[in-house]
Amino acid sequence: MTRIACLMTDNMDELLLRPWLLHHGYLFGFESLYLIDHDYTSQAVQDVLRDFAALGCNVMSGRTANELSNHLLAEGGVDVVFALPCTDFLALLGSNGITCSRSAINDEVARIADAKELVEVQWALENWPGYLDAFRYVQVPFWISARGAEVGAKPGTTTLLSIRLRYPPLLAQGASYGLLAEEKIGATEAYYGDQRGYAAATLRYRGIWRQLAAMMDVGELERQWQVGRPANLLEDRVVWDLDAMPFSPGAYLAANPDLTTNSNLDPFAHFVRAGIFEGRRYNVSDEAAAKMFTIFERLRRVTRDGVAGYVGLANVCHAARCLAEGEEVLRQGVIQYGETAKLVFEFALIALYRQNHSDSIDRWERFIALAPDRPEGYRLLATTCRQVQDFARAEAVLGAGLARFPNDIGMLISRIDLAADCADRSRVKQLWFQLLQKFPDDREVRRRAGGIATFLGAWDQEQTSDVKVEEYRGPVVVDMADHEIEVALARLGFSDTSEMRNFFLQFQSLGSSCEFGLVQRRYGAEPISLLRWNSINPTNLIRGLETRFEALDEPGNLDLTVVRREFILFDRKYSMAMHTFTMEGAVERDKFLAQQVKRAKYLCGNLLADLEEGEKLFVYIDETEQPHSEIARLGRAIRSYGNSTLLYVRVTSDVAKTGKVELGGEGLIFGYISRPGRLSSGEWNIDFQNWEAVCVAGAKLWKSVAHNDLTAPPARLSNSAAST
Amino acid sequence: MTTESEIYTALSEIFSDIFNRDDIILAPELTAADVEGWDSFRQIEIIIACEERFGVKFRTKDLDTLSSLGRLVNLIVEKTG
Repeated sequence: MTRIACLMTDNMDELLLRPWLLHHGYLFGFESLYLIDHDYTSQAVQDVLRDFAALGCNVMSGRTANELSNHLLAEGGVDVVFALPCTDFLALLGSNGITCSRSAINDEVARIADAKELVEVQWALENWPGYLDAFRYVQVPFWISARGAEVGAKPGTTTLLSIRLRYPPLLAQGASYGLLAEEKIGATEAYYGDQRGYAAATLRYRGIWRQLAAMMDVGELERQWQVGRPANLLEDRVVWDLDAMPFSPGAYLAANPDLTTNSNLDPFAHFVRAGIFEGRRYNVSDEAAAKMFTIFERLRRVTRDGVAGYVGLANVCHAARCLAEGEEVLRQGVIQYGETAKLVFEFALIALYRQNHSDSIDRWERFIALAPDRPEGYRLLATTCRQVQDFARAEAVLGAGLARFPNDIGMLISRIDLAADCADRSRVKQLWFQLLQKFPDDREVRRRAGGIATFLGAWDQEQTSDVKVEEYRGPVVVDMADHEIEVALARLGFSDTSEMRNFFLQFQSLGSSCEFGLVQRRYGAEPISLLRWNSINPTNLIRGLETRFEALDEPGNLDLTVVRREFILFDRKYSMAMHTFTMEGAVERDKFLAQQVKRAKYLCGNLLADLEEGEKLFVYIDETEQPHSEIARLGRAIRSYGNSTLLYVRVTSDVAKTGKVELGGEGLIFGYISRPGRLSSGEWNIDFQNWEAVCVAGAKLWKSVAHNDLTAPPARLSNSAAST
Repeated sequence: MTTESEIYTALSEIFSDIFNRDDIILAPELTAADVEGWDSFRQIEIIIACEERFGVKFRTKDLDTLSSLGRLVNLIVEKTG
């Protein structure tokens, strides 16, 4: 029988310690568990250690994991040893999916012992913060050593992996899920954004928690984290409101005794900083954002490092998704301390996060000038250029960077990614084999091997398979049947389709997605506007509005790219992607581009004129849960043209709100719909009746208040009582 | 002021350029549904060409009401009047 030693290395979190011991004790027996007691002061930890020592666990002091591991293999009669932190729970990826089956895991450990191998467990399934049942694969390698393993031999592979709990509040949410003996994860269940297959970094995985969660003190977790249970477990994210997060410095100090030994660390600052790492967000209201800034003013004083203070504050803004504020913080930092490499790096990075690519590129260039000895500047400049599809420039940047840092693996990999972007398979292959030859043992290179191989394989499949790549089938059809039109007319109170069409022509989409364009189409309205079939994020929309979309038609700014065989007009300055509904090959490319540039310029002029006239109700759909400050900024940008009003539409699970609108500020109306218009598979799933209600109520509210009288309703959305 | 007849003559050239066809019979009741390929993109080309040709500027509100060629001609008459 294989003798196993399972060591816990660190992180004796009092909430996770007991389930960790129960889980691994169940798998291997308590006598196989080894814990190193680092003189923990927490009474709860000490209680658990005592209880489990009584059950047979080996609790030791004054040892290190490496030394203990070597000792157990050499002299302890142990066949296999491995060490896991308190956050990681061993599992196995079997042929039918992930399992925590005792026999399956023990069989695999016995196989390693018999083979006398040193194996590397490469992956963990880590919680994906913000999603209740979503996990991502992360590389958190640990080693399993068998007695007699040949020193220096190539590590073996294993189907073992771990489930890593990085986000304690999710455990409470997951309490009602069941951990099944075996749960299948197929390729179709792996997502990364809209992608599937090898590129998937996030796995939605239901049902894994019953066994683990049952071992946790869920009540304590819930009490500690004050988790509300969203109605929609799949899509809703957990949001913590700072205002609802009581803070008692005394209690916090008592719970974190290490703080009392560090007089420089403000307890509240520690609390907030810890919260950021745990994914709490503070962007749910202006008050919360203001409070966050106050906190970090305190942090800045505590850290006593001006530049670090600005960078830290900007990072917090980023974590809170207040990117505009973060950028402003860094701008102020640059004014205060000049262009230090650290500030410019963050300044460039936040512009990249905001998809403000042109500023980001300028700042990366500045960073490279300031810190020529740092390769990441070249890497990130190339990444930014790739994002705006300026592949020639990305190639030039990487060429310059590699001339200076020929062995920078990140840049070498980025060059492969660039070749993949350009669908240049032979170059991907050539560069990849060069890289493999040069760095055969590099961990990052090995990590990328699967992805590259799959890319090449997928390419082969696409080129040789009988299955054709999905063709573009033209605009989505959302028209109503005759009987549906009758019903809609009756529901909306219009006498004929012309009246209904004219009603929906009052609105103008400001992009985000094509959803509202499809809504208008359903009701017979086909307005011609710049942003109707356009995807643009709020940050870039604001920038575009603030600059009157300057230089949109500048040479080189607009270009055609092909997505699913359709020509898409791509704008580099504002990262807009516009449908052309024209298939590749159906037109002559250069001539078509010239037409599209002319068209975009024309429609841009019309949009600005419409904004000045204020006779349209402008619609924007929030697909990314923007903070209130950003929404207000968008409203101000629109308002700067004249008396135009923004109908800002959000998805809510609150049934009392769906289909309703409320005033949100000067020239700003909030509307609520029940679900996102698009499924994660990319198919449309628009709730038209909800949209009808929002449009009717929105138009009514818009017209009932004189445009210039839409003043200052309650600042906080949740407190507003102006529902219609 | 441009007469309707002059407008139709000019439109005939514009349509011929845009659709690459000489056989489209322009009449007030002609709509996008009657001409293959007359989609919203062609519509914008027509509008831009009209603006350049007649020295007028259409507003989005005007474009929303363009239900037929006759309506376009009327608009041009109004704007050049």
